[in-house]
This record gives sequence, C-alpha cells and structure tokens, in this order.
Amino acid sequence: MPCLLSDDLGEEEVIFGGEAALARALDEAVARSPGSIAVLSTCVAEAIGDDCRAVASRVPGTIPVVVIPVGGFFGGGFLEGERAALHAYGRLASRLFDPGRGDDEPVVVLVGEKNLEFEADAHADELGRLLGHLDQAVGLRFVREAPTAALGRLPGADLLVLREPALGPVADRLPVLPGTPRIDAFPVGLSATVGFLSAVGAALGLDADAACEAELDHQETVLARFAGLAGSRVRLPAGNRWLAELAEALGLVVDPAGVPLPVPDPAPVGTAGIARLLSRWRRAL
Amino acid sequence: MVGAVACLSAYTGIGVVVHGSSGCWFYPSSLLKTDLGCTDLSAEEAVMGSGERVRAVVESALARHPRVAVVNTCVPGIVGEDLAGLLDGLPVTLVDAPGFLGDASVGHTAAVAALRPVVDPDAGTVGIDGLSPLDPFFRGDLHECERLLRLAGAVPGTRYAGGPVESLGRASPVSVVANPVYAAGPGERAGDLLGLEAVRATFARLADRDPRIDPGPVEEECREADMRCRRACERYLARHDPPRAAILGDGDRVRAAARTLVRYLDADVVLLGDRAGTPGSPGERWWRAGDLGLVQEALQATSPDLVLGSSFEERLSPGAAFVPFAPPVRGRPRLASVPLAGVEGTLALVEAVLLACTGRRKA
Repeated sequence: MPCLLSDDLGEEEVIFGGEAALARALDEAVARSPGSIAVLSTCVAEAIGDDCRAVASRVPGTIPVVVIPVGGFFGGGFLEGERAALHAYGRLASRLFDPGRGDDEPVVVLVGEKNLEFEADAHADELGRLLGHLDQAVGLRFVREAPTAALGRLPGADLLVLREPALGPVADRLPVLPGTPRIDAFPVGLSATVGFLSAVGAALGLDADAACEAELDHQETVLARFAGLAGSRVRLPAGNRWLAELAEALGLVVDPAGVPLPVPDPAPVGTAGIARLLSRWRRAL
Repeated sequence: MVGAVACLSAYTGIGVVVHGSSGCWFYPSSLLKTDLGCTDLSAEEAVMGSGERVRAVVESALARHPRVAVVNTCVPGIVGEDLAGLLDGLPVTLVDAPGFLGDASVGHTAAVAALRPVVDPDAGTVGIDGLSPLDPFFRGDLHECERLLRLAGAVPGTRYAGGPVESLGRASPVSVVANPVYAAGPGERAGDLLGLEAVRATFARLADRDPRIDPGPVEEECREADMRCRRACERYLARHDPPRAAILGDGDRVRAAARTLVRYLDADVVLLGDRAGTPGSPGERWWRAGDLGLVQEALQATSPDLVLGSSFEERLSPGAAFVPFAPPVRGRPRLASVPLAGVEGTLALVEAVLLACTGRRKA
C-alpha cells in the first residue's frame, strides 16, 4: 500500500496559508524514514500561493524530496500530471545515478506504466515473460513498485520500453545516454508481440530468432485452445490491424451483422493479453 | 465535494455538474460510474472568471436532465464567483461543497440541504435517511429498510439520498436511519437500525407515533434472528476462543458492531476507531481512525485477530480475519446488496464474522 499523507488543509489554512500544515506533514513523512518524499501541490495550495518548494527545501538533505506542482486547474489534465511526475522522478534519478556502479546485465526499463490500470502488473509480468525468452528481465519499472535507490539505474538504461507512444516527449527528457534505444509501446497483437522480441534483440545486440520461434509456438498453442471459435460471424471495430490479424488467425468471419465482440481499452498486452481477450470473446459467442 | 456529488447522483431527475478541474471530476466519476458533467476549470478561468464555461456546461446538461445541480469545488470556492447570478433563470441547484470544508458526510449534508426538502406532515410515509452511494452497504441497507417498513405496515417514503428528486417536495415527516453518519434529512428521526435492539426500539417509536404501524412482525423477526445468531456463535465458541476484535469505520456502526460481537461472541473488543474522530466515553478504546498512521500504531499495539474495517486496515493486519465494514473495499467482488442495518444486517454481519474467523483458523 503506498504511503500517502495529507496536510489536511481546512478552511483556516485556506485563509491563513497552508505552509505550516505542509511542514507538519513533511515532519511526519520524515519520521517514517522513507527512501524519498514526493510533495504534490493541489488546487488549493496553488490558488492561495503556498510556496511548497520552499517548505520542502527544509527537509534534511538525507531524504530526497521531489516537488510536483500538479494543482488540477494549473497543471492540466490527468496525462499532464502523470508526465510532470515522471519528469520530476527523472531528475531525481540523475541525482541518484552512480557511474561507478555498472550493471552486469543490460537494463531494460518500463516507462510510464498506467498505475491506475487494473492489469498493470499483469502487463509487466507478460513483458517479463517475453524478455525471459532472451534471458533478460525487467530491470526497472519507472515508476511503479520501485524503491527510490533503484531509480538510479535509469541513466544507465540500455533500453526504454514505453507504455504508449504518447510518452515519447517524456522519454525525450529522461536522463539517459543519447541514442539509448527505445520501443514506443507495449506490444499489442500477435505479430507485434513477436516483433517486440525482435526489437529487443536488435536493441540489445542479441539474436532473437529462437525467442521469436518459441513465442510463435506459444501463440499457436494459445490459439488452438480457441479453435472452436473458427467460422463464427463477429462484428469488430473497423480499421484495427491487430484485431483483423487476430480474427484471421482464428478463422472468424468479420461481418457487420455478426455478434459484437468486446474490445478493451487500453488494448491487451502480449500473448497473455490476447488469451484473456479470447476467453471474453468465447463467452460472448 | 465527493460526498455531495454522490448524494446528488443517487437522485433521478437531476443532473450533476462538478464546477472545478478535471481532476476533481475524475475521482467521483470513477467511483460512482455515473454521468457527471465538469466545467474543466483552467488557470485562466480561475483568474478571469468562468461564467461562460459554467453556463455552457449547465445548458448542455439540461439537454439531458430537467434540472441540474452544480457542485462547487475548492478553487471556485476560494475565488468566490457569483454562480447564482451567472446561472440566473436556469433550473439549477447550487451546492457549495469545497473539499476543505470537511469529509464526505459534510458534502452529503450540504447537498441534501441545497435540495430544500419540504416536509409534509400528512405524507403518510416513513423516510429512509443515512444512505450514500459511497457506502458499500448503500443498496443493501436501502432494501432492508424498505423491507422492514413494509413488514410493519408502513409505506417507505423519501430517501436521503435516492429516488426521484421530486419526492423531496413532499418529504416524509419521520425517518429511520440506515447509517447515522449520513443522516441529513429534515423531519423527525425515529432512530437507527443498527443492531437488533435498535431495530426494536426504532419500530416501537414509529408505532407510538402512528397506530397504523405494527411492530409485532419486526419484533418476531428480531427474536428469530437473535436465536439464530446465538446458536451459530455458540457452535463456534464450543471449538474456538472469542475473537480479539478491532472495529474501524463510521462511529455509530462501530458501536453497534461492538455490541453485537460482545453479545454473541463474547468478543474482546480491543480497538474501536471512528473515522470522524469523535472521542469515545471514558474507558472505551477509541482511536481517531481517519489517520492511517494512527490506525497502524493502534493495530500493532492491540494485535487483534479479527478486523472489521476497510481494505486499508486489511492490508495493515495481514494475519487477522477480515470483514469488510467501511470503504474502500477493494480486491473482492461485491455483487449482492448486503446490508449492515436491520435484521438482515445483523445476520449478515455475524455470518461474515464467523466465516472470516473460521477461514482464518483453517488457513
């Protein structure tokens, strides 16, 4: 459970200022000896002009403090808040980087997982499984379930795997070496999942042929479990390549008058995601 | 703000617009999964005024609803824009409920007051108060209160909150209360329905007030439920020690659950926690359960083997038997409308406690 504290601003603080309340909350946070403290200013703090950065600067230097101004009406929408947090933790990562501590294995970093997504850990597990074909592992989840000290691995990353292409501008500003390879999104669809392995292999200088073969075999096994769906007349959203590819692989007949099939948003990740989707389709059919 | 939005969204015949930033809209929207409008307040509008935006969003909502409630959030609450003037002439209810005023029950109360219920002494119905969609027992409590009222020959009336918003124009003169922390309606309160004793007492008061109400069938149900609880708990106690219980949630529910556990399981209630922070009587083991740090400290100090609370307390007590008792309840599907109030509420609570304690011992 994430440790979330609040400075609990009430009417009095709104009128007389909330900096003292923030200082008390920071004292409470420091007493718990965390790896780091993130201070997120909200609408009220921004509107009344509290100087959160100044208050945060008084925390003892042994505990890194990251101030993220995300007052809703100043900070924009959900995505802007997420990006501001990633930028802030990127800056912290560069402070924590130890150039003398080289990693023996390539560091693969997942960037910008959707932390409110119900399947977030399942997606990370699936990427871990795929990387396992290449004897690799997820080196850092930036930022999810990561101890503060682990963030120092970011500047030494060998490959960034972004959750979605929209995170490109965030990745552009991360403290990594120029030219660090990047995969723009978690893989969605059968061929994209195999393509992910090829891309990882190319980025890390590894031969991915055997890994791709193993994943293709795995996909065949998964599809065989749903062979009974072949010939079903189904309706799917148009213009979606991975769905068309999946329908073809299963022998589904796409027909505007067919049974409408659920397609989740965000789309399922990897072969495991496809398998869960097919279970839903089988129930719908 | 979230309490106000939840209260208003429980009524039909009225749309809800959150006057604030998209972040203020996101939380209640994802929690309540209902159609909520939002003015998406920006920094520029906070400074230069948001009149045009508010009016446009309200007019758009009025295309779908006969009436709209606009709930003020922190920033417009601080800026102090004259919303009444901006929305003049439109069928709009304004609710001032910025988050810094207090918790969900404060917003809920503000919303009920803003809807201006009018008590009709001759309505001939009994209202149901203390209902909020934020409460995991909302639907179960509603069904149970209605069932018991009908069993006693009463006609269920106005809900606070829920039902058609027009029902507030002829509100019940007296109400029973499902969860006192959300009790906000006008008129007389006959009492709450937390625990069998409270059910008996509340229906006795209703009968004193209105001779058409017969408490007999409810009395009979209470007697039977009491027997069933005794029998099941005696079987449990024949094989196991009484539980050491920690109970955390809304104050009156906590007290009622403690009485039930002591009565049937001879429980050692080592910790009572009220989220609103109300201090208990001298000698009671009350804690302010709104602060998770304090809750953790209290749980460590008391080592309960049974915890009634939210998913937060569940995570803080990994070895204890757990019964969902307060929001949030996460990581477990909840499909049935389980009550905490009324006869079925007591039976459901005792059943859940026995299942949790037995399951823990098997594990």
